[in-house]
Amino acid sequence: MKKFLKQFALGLLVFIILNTIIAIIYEYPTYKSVKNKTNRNYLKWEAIHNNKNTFDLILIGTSRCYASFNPMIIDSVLNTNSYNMATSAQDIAETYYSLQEIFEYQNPKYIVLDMFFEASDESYDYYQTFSNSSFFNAKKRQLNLIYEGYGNTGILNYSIPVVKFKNYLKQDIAGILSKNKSLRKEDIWIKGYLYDPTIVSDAQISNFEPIANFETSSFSRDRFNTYFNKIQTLVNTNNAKLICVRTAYPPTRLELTDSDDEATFFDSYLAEKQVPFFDLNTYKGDQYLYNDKDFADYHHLNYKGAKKASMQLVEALKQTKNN
Amino acid sequence: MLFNSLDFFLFLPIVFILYWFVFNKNLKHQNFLIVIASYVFYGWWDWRFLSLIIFSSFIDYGIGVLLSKENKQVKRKLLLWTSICVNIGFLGFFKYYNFFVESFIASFSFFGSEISPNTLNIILPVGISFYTFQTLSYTIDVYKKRLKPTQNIIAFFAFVSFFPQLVAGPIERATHLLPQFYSKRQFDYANAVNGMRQVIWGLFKKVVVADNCAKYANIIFNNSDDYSGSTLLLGAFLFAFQIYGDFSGYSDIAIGVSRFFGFNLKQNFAFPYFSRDIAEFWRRWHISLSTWFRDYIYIPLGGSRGSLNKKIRNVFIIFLVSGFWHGANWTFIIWGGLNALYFLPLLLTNKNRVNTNIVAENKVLPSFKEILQMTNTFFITLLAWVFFRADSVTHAIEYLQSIFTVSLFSKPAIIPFTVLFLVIVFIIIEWLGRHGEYALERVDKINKPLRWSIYMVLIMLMFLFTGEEQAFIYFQF
Repeated sequence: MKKFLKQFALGLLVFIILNTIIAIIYEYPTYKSVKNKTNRNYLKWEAIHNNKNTFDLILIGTSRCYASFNPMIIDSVLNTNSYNMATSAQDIAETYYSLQEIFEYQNPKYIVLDMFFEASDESYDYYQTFSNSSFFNAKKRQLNLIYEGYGNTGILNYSIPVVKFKNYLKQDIAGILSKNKSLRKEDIWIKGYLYDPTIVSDAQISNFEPIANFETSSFSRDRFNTYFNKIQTLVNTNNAKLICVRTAYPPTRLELTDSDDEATFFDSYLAEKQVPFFDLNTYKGDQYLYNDKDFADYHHLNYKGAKKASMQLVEALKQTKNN
Repeated sequence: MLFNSLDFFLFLPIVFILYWFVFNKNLKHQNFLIVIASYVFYGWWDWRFLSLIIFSSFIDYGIGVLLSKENKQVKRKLLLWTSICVNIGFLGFFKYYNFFVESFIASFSFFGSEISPNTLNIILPVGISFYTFQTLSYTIDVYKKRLKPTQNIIAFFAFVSFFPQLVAGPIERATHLLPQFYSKRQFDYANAVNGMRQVIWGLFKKVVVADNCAKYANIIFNNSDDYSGSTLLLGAFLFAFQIYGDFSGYSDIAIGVSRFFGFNLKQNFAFPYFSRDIAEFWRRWHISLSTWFRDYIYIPLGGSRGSLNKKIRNVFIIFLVSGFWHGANWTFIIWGGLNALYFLPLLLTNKNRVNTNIVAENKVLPSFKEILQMTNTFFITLLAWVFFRADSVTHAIEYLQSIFTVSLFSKPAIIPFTVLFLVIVFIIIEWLGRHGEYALERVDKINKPLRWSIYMVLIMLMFLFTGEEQAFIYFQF
């Protein structure tokens, strides 16, 4: 028995060492960027924490949201002070806890929430989630997100680096095997919005696939419903107005899509909840016509597309105000 | 509780410590701990259904005791049938009630008369098919005097509910497992290390192979109308590895965990996809169930002896019952029937026991003939799996029809390179390890640094590819 336990302990030690190495490799860039004040999530939360009650419009959602809405454009027309608090691969539970943190420091009149099936599906990028929430000032909120948001899996992902960084490890392993090494460009951030000059290539367009539907995504209606209700209550309690949008997809992808479940579902769900919803793929389509070259890839707008999306949002906000 | 869950990773060390460090002085206490731990393990899913296991255990224990005192054949038979009726009655009610009602209604409506359905919203208790067969084996063996009835109620309850194999097998025979509860278990280092290795391999099969194949197999099967023949064939291929990785992975974990506690369970899978004919496949796939049917149904019916008609009848009975055991759906029955059709020519030409050894024994690579034989067996198995996986018979037929079209020669719409790479690595490891009871069994022959590196790579891959906890497919059976 002693020998077995010794061997087991040794195995555990090797596992811990390997995980420590992975943690150092992957956490170090974050640590360095925080130290150099270049980490995008850190800077976003710094803006929220250090400028109390300054922003009256908060945009929140996934990377699709931070690539779509430029607060400078919105503010120049509406004379507001807005901030884009969307983060990469943001899950709906993360949105809820982020809003809790935001409301503790800000008193916005409007919350614009980007709707996306993948934000409420059953696959999570825990690293992004935990990286974002690590900048919450309220540590209890961070723990609530881990445990209440994701249960045991959340704890497992939070505490074991190989699981937490699995997406990045897989990418890096694939990168070692692949000949195409992409050079990372310097990102430009404007009040939380990513100014992206990339234009999708024709080769990428030819590989476009239909938009995810109920069958091809693991969208969880229950999970979405639970957190949406919480978000709606939180926003109402803080006397703000919730506005939902679905940011644009490349027209080629829309053409390939037989049944746009995402649009249909959000449209009927939000109508029932009496929350204004604007699908930017169609909203004022005659004025704001997208083409594939308005995108940086298969679902992120580039700087050209973001101009259109920001102006669409301005129109939507005006319409909501008038109603 | 799932083997691939955090709950189980906390539960197992607690039970292990209590078993070897607290209750190790007394065999009865150790067995009692196994009963309690097994009930906690099962009750984690739904404690209400524990009553079924407890009731079944009481009935079969009592019948065993009565059989030991009874010499009159009529009364002995009555006792045996009481046990069969109670056990099969539970199974029939929970698993097959709605199926029979619906089939009854469907057959009436076929003849033009409509009757209103009266189906019930019944939850299928996890593992009922497994523990029912295990307890039945005890009563039948006691009745046939192949086994002395036990007077040790705790040992019997532990035998019925033994947590590593309670919910998805292997289905152990009382003659093999029950005596292990009578004798004091000694901690055996080599056995425990072997168990650990088998658990690692089982988890790898489940988490890395099965769950990753499942992602794409589900997409393809759920949207089969939209895909080309080549994509559908790929879907069936991925499902073949999903079900193998899932079920044999569970068996490996069950056997491995049992070794930690000083128990030896029987091998349940012996590299079935390296079979050269379908008879060999059935000697290598879900061995504990196949041998159960062989010993308690096929041989009592006359087996392969007797007239041609009898032989054919017996083969069909055993395969159809096997199909029906898997689920209350015509798809499983047709799956069983198809396998009977595959098997019959071998039996009738006396070729069903040609390939009883390991393929390419003591060789690195198979011969060309063996490759063709294995490919052929795998392919026909794959076609039968379509029925196993499909939602309905119509779905399965349409799926198969869509495979055999010109689009079979087009590029698949989905090519999951990483998953296919993992499957290939998995096949290579299984091939290299096919002389052992499981693929990693003989890894102990290689030097320590390399061996440990293999373990660590497998463990890291498990964590790297872990997704949401996926239930084991065989839980539903």
